[in-house]
Amino acid sequence: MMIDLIVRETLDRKLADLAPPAADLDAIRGRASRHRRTRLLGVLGATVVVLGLTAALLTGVGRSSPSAPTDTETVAAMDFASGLRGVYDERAQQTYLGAQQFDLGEIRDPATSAESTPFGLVYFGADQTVRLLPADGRIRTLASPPALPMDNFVPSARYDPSRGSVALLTSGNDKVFLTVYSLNGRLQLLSSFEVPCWGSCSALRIAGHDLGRVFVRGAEDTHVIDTRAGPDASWAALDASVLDVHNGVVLAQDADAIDFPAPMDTEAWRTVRAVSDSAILTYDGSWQLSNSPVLLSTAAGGGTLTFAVPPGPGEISLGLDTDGSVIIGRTDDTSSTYWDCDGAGLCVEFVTVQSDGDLGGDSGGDSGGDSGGASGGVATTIVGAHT
Amino acid sequence: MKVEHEEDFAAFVAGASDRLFRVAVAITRDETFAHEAVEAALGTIYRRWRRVAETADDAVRRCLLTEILGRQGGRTTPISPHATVPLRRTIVAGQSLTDTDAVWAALADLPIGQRAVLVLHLYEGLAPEQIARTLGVGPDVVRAQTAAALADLRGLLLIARRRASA
Repeated sequence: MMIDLIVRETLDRKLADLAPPAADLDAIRGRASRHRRTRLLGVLGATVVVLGLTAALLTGVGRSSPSAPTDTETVAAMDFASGLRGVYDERAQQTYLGAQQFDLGEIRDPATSAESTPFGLVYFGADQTVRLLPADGRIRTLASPPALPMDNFVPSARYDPSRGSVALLTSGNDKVFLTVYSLNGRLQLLSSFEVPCWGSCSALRIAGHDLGRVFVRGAEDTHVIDTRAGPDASWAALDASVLDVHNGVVLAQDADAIDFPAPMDTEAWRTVRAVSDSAILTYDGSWQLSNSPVLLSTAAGGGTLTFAVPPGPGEISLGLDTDGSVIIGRTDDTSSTYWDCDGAGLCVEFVTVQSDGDLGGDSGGDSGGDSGGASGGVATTIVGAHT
Repeated sequence: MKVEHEEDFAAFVAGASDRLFRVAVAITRDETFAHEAVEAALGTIYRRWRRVAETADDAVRRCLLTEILGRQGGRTTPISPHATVPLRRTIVAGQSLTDTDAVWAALADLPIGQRAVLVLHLYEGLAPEQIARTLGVGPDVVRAQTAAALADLRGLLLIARRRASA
């Protein structure tokens, strides 16, 4: 049988099984009138329109409600006014996000894979389905599970504030792929590239996504690609292990300078030596963080900023929030406590996770989790820690 | 809009929406997005109904593909016939080359541009010239994409068959 006949028969059969939702004339007319209003608003200024699109995605305003969607889950609406404040409790598989607690099921490798964005949380499910959880609580699927993912491969995701896009590194059919989605206004696939496995495939991670470039770190070095170039883009090797990239600042391990390839060599990229292999940058690239509430300036001459978390025992963890603030966690044997710290060093405690998996949101206390119990520890992760 | 135009438009929606939804699902594989894309396309047609009523089928198809492929205005985005994208569906071992489930899964693994061309050609029954007008590309691009899509699909199905027999 000819392949085109097979495809035609397949399409006829599969699509005949579908049950299309009833056409809603009011919703269609509503879209038409909203479009007119949007065009009128457009002349008032591009900024207003961009904000409107962002708000529409965050709040669901301007979207119709599809009748009985089969692949869309909904959780409680969230408040992202103070950033996402994302914490994932691996033991209870509970997510604390936007002052809400809910069960998203297992989030795969939340430290490297889940990414806080102004549009919501981008995360990988246990089967590597990529999902977006916006503030309205309507979970959207960005990508279906890959076929035949590699063993030991950890998918990773990074957000580029300059473009409102998220880059995803996934594996399937014995290959590694980089895909970039726009979250800015509407969800759409921007570009997709196969990633050569420099050394070991399973070692590849997205180290940074900034100004349209995606930095992929391997076991020994880092490669960068300009995703704006589409199919013509090519990978360039960097002679350094890049840990993080934000706002033109490249945080490199064991390197004070990087020989950037053209045309990056004529652009304002700045290399900063990392203080440890777990260091990350703040959104504005001004500070680096590394397992301590003391931040180091990336500017020439240095300087520090100390976050005012209450003293106490336990291991410190750090992550970035979407409003530019820093999330600091302290974990001991019985609990984890999380603070949201601003650029002035002031910190607000927003959740404590007990070792039994209970989460207490906006507790407002200052104990810092120093009760010193003897249970087996707490498995929690700050979303966006990028460790 | 005048009452008679409203009635014409309502009749058009009643007759076209199911098929548009099926086309959108075949291309996007996402029923929620497909439903929204169809509504958006019909909303565009509603605004322009007086001008496009005579050629509403072609017009709404163009609007739908614009929604799906994320193009705006009259700008066209070249679709690479051999764009590399992740393989997103698992072809289940044991399926034959002509198993509709295997073919349906393999179609999902094609780049969305290739999938759109195949759906328009083989499900909608459009000629390359019609598809070219719908997508805003040249007929040669459509022919190249169709050939590439069928070749890639054949390869995906052969891989599935080898896996099934291994």
